[in-house]
Amino acid sequence: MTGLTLTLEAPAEVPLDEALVVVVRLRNDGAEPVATSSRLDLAEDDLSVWVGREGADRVRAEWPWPVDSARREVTLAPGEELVGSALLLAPAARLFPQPGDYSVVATFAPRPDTEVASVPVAVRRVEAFDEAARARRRALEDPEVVQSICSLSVMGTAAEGLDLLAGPGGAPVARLLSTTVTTTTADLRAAIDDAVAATGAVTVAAALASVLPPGLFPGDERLAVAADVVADADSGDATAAALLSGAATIHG
Amino acid sequence: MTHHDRATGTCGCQDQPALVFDEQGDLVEDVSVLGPPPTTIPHAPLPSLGLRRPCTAARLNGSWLLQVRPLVPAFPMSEVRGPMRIEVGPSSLRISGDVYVRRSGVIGPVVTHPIGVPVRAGGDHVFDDDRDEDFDQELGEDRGGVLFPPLRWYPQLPKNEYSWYFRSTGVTWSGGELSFSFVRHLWDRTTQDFVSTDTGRMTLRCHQPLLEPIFRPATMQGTATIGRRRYALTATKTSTFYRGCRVEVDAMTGRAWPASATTAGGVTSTFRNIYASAGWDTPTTLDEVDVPDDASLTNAELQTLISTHQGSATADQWRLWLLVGSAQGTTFGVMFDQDAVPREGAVGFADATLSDSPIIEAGARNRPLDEVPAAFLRTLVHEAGHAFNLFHPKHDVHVPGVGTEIMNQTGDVMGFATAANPYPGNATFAFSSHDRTSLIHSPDPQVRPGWKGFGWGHGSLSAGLPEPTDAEGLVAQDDAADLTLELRLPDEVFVGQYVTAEVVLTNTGDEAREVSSRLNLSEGDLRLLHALPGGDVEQVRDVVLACGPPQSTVLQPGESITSHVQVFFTSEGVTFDVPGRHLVRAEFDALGWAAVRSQRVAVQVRMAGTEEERGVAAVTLDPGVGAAFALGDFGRDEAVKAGLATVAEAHPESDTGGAAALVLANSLARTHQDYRTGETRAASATEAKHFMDLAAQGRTALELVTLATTVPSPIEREAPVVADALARARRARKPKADLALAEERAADFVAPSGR
Repeated sequence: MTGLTLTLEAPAEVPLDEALVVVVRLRNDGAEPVATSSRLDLAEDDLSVWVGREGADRVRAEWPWPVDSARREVTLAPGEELVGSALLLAPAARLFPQPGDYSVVATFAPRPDTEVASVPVAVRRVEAFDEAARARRRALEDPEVVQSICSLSVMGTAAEGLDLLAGPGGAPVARLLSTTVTTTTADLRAAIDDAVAATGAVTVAAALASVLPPGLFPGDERLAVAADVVADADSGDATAAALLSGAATIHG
Repeated sequence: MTHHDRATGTCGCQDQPALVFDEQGDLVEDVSVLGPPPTTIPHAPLPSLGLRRPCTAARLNGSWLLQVRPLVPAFPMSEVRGPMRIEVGPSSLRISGDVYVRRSGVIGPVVTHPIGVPVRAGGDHVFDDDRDEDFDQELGEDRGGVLFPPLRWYPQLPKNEYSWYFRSTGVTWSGGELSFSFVRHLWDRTTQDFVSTDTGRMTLRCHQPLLEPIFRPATMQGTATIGRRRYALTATKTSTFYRGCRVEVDAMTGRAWPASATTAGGVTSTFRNIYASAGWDTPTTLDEVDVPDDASLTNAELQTLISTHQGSATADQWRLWLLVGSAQGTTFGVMFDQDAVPREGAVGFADATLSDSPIIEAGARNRPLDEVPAAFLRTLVHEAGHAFNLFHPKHDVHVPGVGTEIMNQTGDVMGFATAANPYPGNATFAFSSHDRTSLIHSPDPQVRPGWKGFGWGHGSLSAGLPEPTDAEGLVAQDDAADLTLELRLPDEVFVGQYVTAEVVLTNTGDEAREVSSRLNLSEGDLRLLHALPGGDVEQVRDVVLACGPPQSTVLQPGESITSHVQVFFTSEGVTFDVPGRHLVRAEFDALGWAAVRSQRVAVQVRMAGTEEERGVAAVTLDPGVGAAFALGDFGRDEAVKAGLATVAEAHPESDTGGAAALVLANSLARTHQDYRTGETRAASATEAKHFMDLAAQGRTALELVTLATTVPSPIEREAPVVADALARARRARKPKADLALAEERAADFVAPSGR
């Protein structure tokens, strides 16, 4: 419609005991500035991510609760982009019911009456045959664990599952998110350090921004701690910082 | 105009031409295009009416209690009744209803006890701002020492009696006769979903006396054809609204509930009158105003707040808890209640602040919602809408279109605001037509708080026209009170693994209960409902089905009967042969008309991973081996025997290997006659002992006997394997306590008794 382009980035292969986070970029490829919604997250419903597999209906990745929030806009100059992320965990057990190849596509509503879509991206979900890994995968399918991660608060009887995911040997993104639920902000830095070392600054920033969209939680201390770690990591990639700030950047 | 209609405030008219409404409920202006009106069920001419006249169409409008009775009483007697909603618009007439069925189990007339209670606000903080002038009167107040019956109430019935939903597909209204065809969606209480449809027709006659007694509700009588049978109908008007739900509001210290707000055009809007415009009666009570302050609320804290601050109510009462809370980031509100009993709570965040954008009204910029009543009221009504299962239009599968009505996200409403028409003044304080229709006519499981999860019901209910059933729908039993059924299955299995289930029936009541003791998959009382990863639902039974006399036992309060059943190979073949997440629920006909259902249990199924697992699966997925597991005998198939022996010898410690050994021990302990060939398999005590020894390796007496009880067909109670396993355990001098439990388990295989 307006020169806006949506792209989706996802890891090619992710075990089922890991939390899958995708990165979405909304870029102005036109010649004129474009005003757009900046709510590039699942919680606020302008962004949708759909997961499909052969022989089955595609499933929309959901935020566990319907949320009402104000409109936030940003004006993207030509070449500027906004980057956001989405955690593909809910509806638990329906998005990725079994190992196999999936197609993931994102859509975004820059304005209430318009929509842009990404090109589909292939993601392979692989089974973990190790017993501990299978237990972690089951924990990730527990709706209360999913709700806990998405709300960063312990829901119902999720504590045991969260501990399992946060324990040693856990997949890095699920481990970081579970730790973020159960630990204090003061103790979070070590977990973020570990996760950056294991999986990189962009993945860590995407994971945290997916549950704490910076536009919805401006000034959140956990985002600030992560931003410090990312800055220290000096990865040279502006994406991680942009994910944590929600600010538009010049596309590299 | 001839007469004033007290119930509607309109004037009654007689001798009006017939009004015909199409499938969507819209008035058909040119009736000739339809041909003659459908022939309705023949009925006797109306008796002389004397001082009676046909009702007005407007009198039909509202909520009714519909009662359905067979024209010829039949046993067992049932109460078939529920709410019916008739929506009469300027040029439309739509009808829908939800029918609940309860077996009364007695011969004689069914007594319909009062259903539901009048919806009224309680407590000390009832809002008076939008109270109807005749509200107290309608509620049945004690006036002058005389307690009048309630005149506004809603049939709100137990969820476990829900049976079917209907909606009109064409209506004719003429001379006081309402006739309509309808499509019926039948509800399956086990799967908790609509599973099929059929059609029917109802005809109701509405007349009212010229001089009507005060406070007497309007009634209609008529007939129905449902599932090719005819029924008598009685409808009693309960309200001029269509549905009712109590709303309890609690406010955090220092935050204010927006009891009313001045909205566009100077209109005073309230929570209640916005819902009233959609036909819902939502008396709202401000209960607590001092919920302890907490600057930021997580969803876990919100769940704690609803569990500790929501007032009590009867189980069948529709109710919603609203919190005037502090903040959660910059979120305006959330319907946070997504637990096992979902959609009963929502929150609006009073501290969330509007921006300083020019599209925000000048007086509202940089102000918290708490100080902008119209904006805050909009959010609270919006969140309550989610609790009634309304969606954001932009993701509603019906694609109603994004706009400025209530269920649009505030952000989207702001998207339509301009400096000349800023928010919240640009917001529409009403529901869209799509949402209004959903609130009035969607099935109870969809809209009632505490029933189906958020998002359910926004697709097609079901398709196809199966064989008609009778007015009780698919109901075969009522839910048994004071009994619980527990189903235990392994969390995870690989395809090809031997799987058993433990089923426990417990008397949780205060009195002894006689129950069926046929707690197995062969004799019809126990069934497993199995949802595959793709969503298909199958019913699991044993490969052998037996018909026999009822067998029962008496459970004292607190006692249980327990059984262990193999579910590896059943009427489905290999039950868990598809990788992914399977859901299983057990259903047991406890006795008579009472059934009891377990919670759903998830089983994660994966492909065989290790070399050992693949080796096992290569044998057990053979249909002949599967049948041997199901029957507890390999017959005369030497290849099956060899396969079982391979698994038993290689993996006696696993349940699969142990079960294979026990199948062999059971088979070889007896002769087998093949009646087709006339050949006989001889018993082999030596081989039987060898395989029993293998099965006993590393198992306690209880573990060995428990596994042994899963091997033979449940109706083959004399099968040698259970007694042999117990004897083997005794020879091994297992601990006394272990042996005692094993003996109980063996005895329960023959005749279950309460423990």
